[in-house]
Amino acid sequence: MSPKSKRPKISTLHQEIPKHVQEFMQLTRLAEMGRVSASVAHEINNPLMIAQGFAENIEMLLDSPEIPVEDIRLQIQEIMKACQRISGIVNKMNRMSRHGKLRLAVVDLAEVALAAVDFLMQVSDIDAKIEFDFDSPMPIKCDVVQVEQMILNILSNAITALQENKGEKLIRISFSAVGDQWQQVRIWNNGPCIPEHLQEQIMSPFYTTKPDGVGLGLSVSKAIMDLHGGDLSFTSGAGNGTEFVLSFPRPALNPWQEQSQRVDRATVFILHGQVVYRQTLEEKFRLLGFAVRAFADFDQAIEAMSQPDQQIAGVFVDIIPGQLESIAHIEKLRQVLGASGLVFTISHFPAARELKSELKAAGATECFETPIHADNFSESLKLLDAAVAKKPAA
Amino acid sequence: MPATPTKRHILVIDDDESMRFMLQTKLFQSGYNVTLAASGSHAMQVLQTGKRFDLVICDLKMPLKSGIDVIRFMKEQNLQIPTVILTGFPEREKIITAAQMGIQDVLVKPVRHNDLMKMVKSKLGDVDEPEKQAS
Repeated sequence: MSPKSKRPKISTLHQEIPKHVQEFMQLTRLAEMGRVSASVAHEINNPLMIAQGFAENIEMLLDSPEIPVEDIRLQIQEIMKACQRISGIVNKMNRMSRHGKLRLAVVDLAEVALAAVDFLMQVSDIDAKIEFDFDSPMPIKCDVVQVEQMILNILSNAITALQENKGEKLIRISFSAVGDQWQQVRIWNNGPCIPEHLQEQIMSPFYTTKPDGVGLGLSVSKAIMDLHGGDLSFTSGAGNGTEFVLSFPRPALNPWQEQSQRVDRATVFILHGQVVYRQTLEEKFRLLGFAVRAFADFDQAIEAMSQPDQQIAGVFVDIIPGQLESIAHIEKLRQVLGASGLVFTISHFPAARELKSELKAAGATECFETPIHADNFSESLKLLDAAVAKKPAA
Repeated sequence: MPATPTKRHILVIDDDESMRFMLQTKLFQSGYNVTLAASGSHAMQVLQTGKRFDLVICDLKMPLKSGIDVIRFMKEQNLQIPTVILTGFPEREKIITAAQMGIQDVLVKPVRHNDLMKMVKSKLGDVDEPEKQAS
């Protein structure tokens, strides 16, 4: 299959972005804000309840026969701390709502798709089975927010279509390279096929079958794929389900397929609560010649790291912001690895940016967001190699 | 602070330090004994000591060992302690899982003092005891 459509490309990265696409990009930024607000709902409700709770406590203490001034002062300080937390989150959301051009970075397509799935699972109740079939990393150069939003849009269309299925509801996300040129993510579902007479129309602006839909998702997704120099296509046939394919040009840079041999097999530890994400990261380091040990449980990981006679290259640990435990975890890792050990934090929550200085103060070497940008990955690789060179195998 | 002869003992599990401190202060001011756990695994350690608790107040979303893991652990260990989920992020799936394990009381943050205390008292079977604050 040719990833390019017959239709001429409407624009390239260097041309002016059409107005309706700009508007959609603004909408996806707003949707990204929605994503952020869902992920920070947890964080913002915590400081809110803390401030409210202490204020109520103080109100009760004011009725005491002897007003405990020091207690009250302490509780007021906690209220101020909670307010600062809330204000940090609000500032970040303001920054996110600013619209702009494509923000390009090289990332692993599988990680972007995974982020979309992860988000969907968090915010909605999905009765479809989602299979995630990835092999090796698939670098693409893209605007992560836009692409994640497109994948989310296609997944949510698939879930709507699957509502009509009486039996098993299945979505399969797979990845494939087409020649040396194209990287594809294919999103297939076993829902009813799109009737032939509608297949021409579904990519047209304002075409929708949803009562509350606007009908811009697919048409603008297609335009955004054009801006990336790629393409969006689909196939749908009776008994075969429907498959949407996003094709991206393969970038020159592939940090996950380095040729250098790492014969000493130093170990990279991965601590992440999400099993598929853990596997994608594991695969990357395996391909690069590291030994990898991955854990979902922090205490088990610490125990494994404390075993003698092993050479630890570094640790990648998942951070969920708003949870002070995270800071304690970094401190513990620093303690176990010693001053020269490498601790990289990763987080899918944009709110983790706010924590960077705290995480670094606790001992994090670097703090990355997922999908991890290729330049960040390469930077961590250099540090890992330097650390291994400094400490030859025991 | 009020000293009732048989102070009820509440285990508060939350990974947010300020939240733990606030709940501890609030429950203590209301006449309860409070033990704090900063994570799911910490809570399991505390529960394993055999210390008697009259109530568990448990956050859901915590890194690595979640509130659901704690509830599952209590069920496995046959620890029948009344439990209230206190969460800022009530994911439907997790709430259903908790309900399937017999935990049906969920408070969504932010919770007002009166609502929290009403829930605490009802789970402890207290009517107006042991809140001692003047009003």
